[in-house]
Formats: sequence, structure tokens, C-alpha cells
Amino acid sequence: MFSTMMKMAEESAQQFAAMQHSQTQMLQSLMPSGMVVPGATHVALSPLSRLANFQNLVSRALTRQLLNCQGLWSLSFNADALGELQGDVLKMQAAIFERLSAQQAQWKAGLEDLETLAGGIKEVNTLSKLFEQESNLAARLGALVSSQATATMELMESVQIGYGYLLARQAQDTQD
Amino acid sequence: MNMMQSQKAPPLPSFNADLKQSSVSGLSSGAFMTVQFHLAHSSTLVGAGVIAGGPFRCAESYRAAAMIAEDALTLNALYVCMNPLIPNAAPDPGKLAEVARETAAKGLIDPVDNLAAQRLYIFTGSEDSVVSSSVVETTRRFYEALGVAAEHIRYEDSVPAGHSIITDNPEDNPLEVNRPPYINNGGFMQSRHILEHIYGPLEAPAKRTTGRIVRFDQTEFFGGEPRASMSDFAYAYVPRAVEDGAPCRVHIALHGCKQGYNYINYVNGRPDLENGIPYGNRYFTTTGYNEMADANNLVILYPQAQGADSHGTQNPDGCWDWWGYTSKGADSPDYYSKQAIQIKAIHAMLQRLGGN
Repeated sequence: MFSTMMKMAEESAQQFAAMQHSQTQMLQSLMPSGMVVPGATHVALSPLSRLANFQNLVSRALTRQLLNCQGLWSLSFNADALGELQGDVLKMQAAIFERLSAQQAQWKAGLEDLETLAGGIKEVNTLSKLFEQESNLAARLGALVSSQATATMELMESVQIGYGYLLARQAQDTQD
Repeated sequence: MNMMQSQKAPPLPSFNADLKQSSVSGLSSGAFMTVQFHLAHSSTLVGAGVIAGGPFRCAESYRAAAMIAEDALTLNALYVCMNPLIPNAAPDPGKLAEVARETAAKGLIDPVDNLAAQRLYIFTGSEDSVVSSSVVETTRRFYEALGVAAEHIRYEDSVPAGHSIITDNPEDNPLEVNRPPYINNGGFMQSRHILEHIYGPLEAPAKRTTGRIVRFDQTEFFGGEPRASMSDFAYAYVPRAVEDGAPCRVHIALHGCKQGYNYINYVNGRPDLENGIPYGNRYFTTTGYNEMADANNLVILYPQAQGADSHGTQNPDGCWDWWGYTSKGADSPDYYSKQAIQIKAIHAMLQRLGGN
């Protein structure tokens, strides 16, 4: 069963790489001449290529996740290694919770800030000033949402890399 | 790069410098570069000051982070070398010391045996949320693993400072914050602590300096290559006595990200050219190095990195290269050896100061 799971994970990783490659090829064929999709040699900025870039990055993240599963599986029959890893996993979970709490606090503070800003808006006597004030509010909300989304993506990447790195180190130590 | 501007800056002059007494320090990316430069040229240096920096080649800790080497380097830099979730996910100092030995054995950096007698100042603020204290702690263990005696290392981790170089300037940021220009007021000049730890007791800083800041053309040292991500100009503080021919020593002070003189903030992905940052010259004027230099016949060299955000060079914050963005190829990146473009340039500046 162990070897079957290993094989499945490896095959999935290979399939993802192949899918990425064929997707790049397909998008390349749809591009106007002279434009290149990411994963080839240059970054083009068309919506299609940005979509391709997004899909590439998502599939790379999924591949990482799969490889992490594979790494965990390969250690799962080594009681000593698992024992050592367990402590780290608990610490990781605590660290993730801490970061999510900090993010939640930032979100709350940001909304309170916006509320204060909105409440402090005074009556103005030109349309242009009114538009500027409303736009500022919208921009601040946009920036808050964007920073939350970025922080969430960073945390996701950090968790994946963190787990992967810990597993790799543990596997190396087990081999040594 | 603006060649017309460069033509206006004179070349870096030479002085009566004893290059065997040189040292280096830096903050953040400047600290990562400090470690790299220190290892690459340990035969020339007597010590280093590392403020919030990680160990040598830590961005290569976990190659399997991504299929593409360049992605793996960046992910390592962010999530292993700067802000790992837990201390065990920080760089492995023992393994990196081994990597350093192998790199030295290939002749890419000076022999690591030189490090044993060197003096290290290593600092991490307990409130630093940019480069985790757990990473900086591995820098101390990395140097110890390379044979630096524990008593030669001054390791500070108890000051409640954010990510910053600390000064006693009232106009600098509060001590605990983590925001540009990353120069915080902690009631003491950290540059003095660094220099005194490296060189031993020194004269107190000059209350009124007599020397001058020399602006020089930096492009000659990297051949104007855009991938170097270095500015047209750089600076050196030269005490009056040194300009008049007195013997001197050289200390290289490396700024961190967003601290170069021509750093431009990116707003919504575009450089905000209309609102230049107001603090571009602070690192080489107000961090206290110059006052110490004036009283102790030190020349302080301030090389300058600049931002670039192209497909070729992804370094919008103007950081020094410690994760390979200047490399010609990410599969075998060279940002750490004597031949790495930034290290080679800084070393050439040092040689010039000594008249070589």
C-alpha cells in the first residue's frame, strides 16, 4: 500500500507538470504572434497570460501539497521520526492560529479605522471634493481587502513551505 | 541608468587605508549581504556586524520548494530565511556551515579558517516581524559552527526593537515599529556598538565632524550592468585627517531594502515617481557611523543598491541580493561568491580605497 501511495503521488506530480506544459503550449497557440505565456521565456501581460500564470502558480501549490503528503506518508512508518515531527506540527498549528488571530485583529482595526474616517467626513461644497472623499473611502476598503487577501496567500505559502521543509529535514535526518 | 548623471560624479578616490583591517556591517538585506561578503573576503576583514540577517546561502535550504529553481529561491527567502512559522523551520546552521566549507573548498570564497579570529556583532530586535529572531539566532550558530569563538560574538536579542538599525535621533521611528525607513530611536547608536565590538575601544564619536561625504560614480564597479541592481552613485564618509593623508581603516556599511538613496515606492504596482521618499539619504548621514569615523580615522563606504522590477531582475525594494536575483541562471545561482556581481563591485570599491 505504501509503495502504491508513493507511486500515486509521484504520478500526480508528473501529471501536474505535464498539464502545465500542455496548458502553456495551448495558450501559446492562442496568443497573437510575438506574445509569450509565462512558463515560456518572457512574461506577457495580456489577461490570458495572467490567467495562465495564475493557473501555473495554483498547480505548483497543489503539487507542493501533494509532495508534502508524499513526504508525510513516507515517514508514517517510522515511529521515531513521526514522534519528533508531531511536536513541530503542534507548534506549526499554534503559529498558524497566532497569525490568523493577528490578521483578524488587523481586519477589525482596519474596519474601525474606516468607520472613523467615514464618520469624520464633513459636508463639502464642490462635487469634485465629494467624489474625492468617497473615492478615498473605497480605495481604503480596497487596500484593506487586498492586504488581507495577500496575507492569507502568504500564510498558505508559508504553511506549505514550512511543512515541506520540516518533512524534508526529517527525512534527511532519518536517512543519516 | 542615467549616464549623463553618472558623468558628473567623480571616481572613488584612494586613501592611505590598511585594507587588512577592514570590516563590514548591514541591516536586513544588507545584513544577509554582510554575511556573504564576510565569507567571500574573510582574508581581508577583521569582523562584521549583522543586524537582522540570516546565514550564508540560506535561500538554498529547501530546493524542493518549487520545480523552478528561481521560485524555490524566492520561497526559501520569504518563508525559511525571513519569517518561518516556527524556529525548527528556520535555516539549518550546521548544514549551511557545511555548505560554506564546500564553497570555500571550491575556491569560490576565502578559506573559512580565517573566521576563527574574527569578531561578530549579531543583533535581532525582539519585536522584529520582518526577519524573525529565530533566523538571526541561526546566524550566530552558523558562525560558531565555522569556528568563531563564542566570546568573539556579541549576540543581542533582548532589545524590544522592530526591524531597524537603532539610533538616538529623536526624529526616527519609535523603537518597536517595523516600517520604513527602518531606522528606529532606541536611545543609543547601534553603529557605535558594532564598531567598538569589532575594533575594540574607540574614541567617542565626534560632536562636530570635520570630514565630508564623497559622492562617487558607482557604475564603473559593476560595468553598468542592469542585473546588478546598483545605483549610479554611492557614498563614502572621509574624515579630514584621512583626506590629508593619515592612515585609516575602512568599514563598509550596507543599507537594507527601501533604504538606498534613489529608492522609489511602488503604489499599486507602479513606481510613485511624483512622490520621492523623503529619507533616501538617512542611512549614510544619520546612523552615527560618520561621527565614529571622524573620531577614529575610519572611512565608511556606503555602496547603494537600487530597485528594479523587470522580468530580468525582480527587486522592487532595492534590496541587496541574497536569493539570486542577479544570477545569470537560477539553476546554479551565484550571488554569494567572490565573482558575484554585487560582491565583486563592493570589493573593487574597497580595493580602490586602499589604492589597489
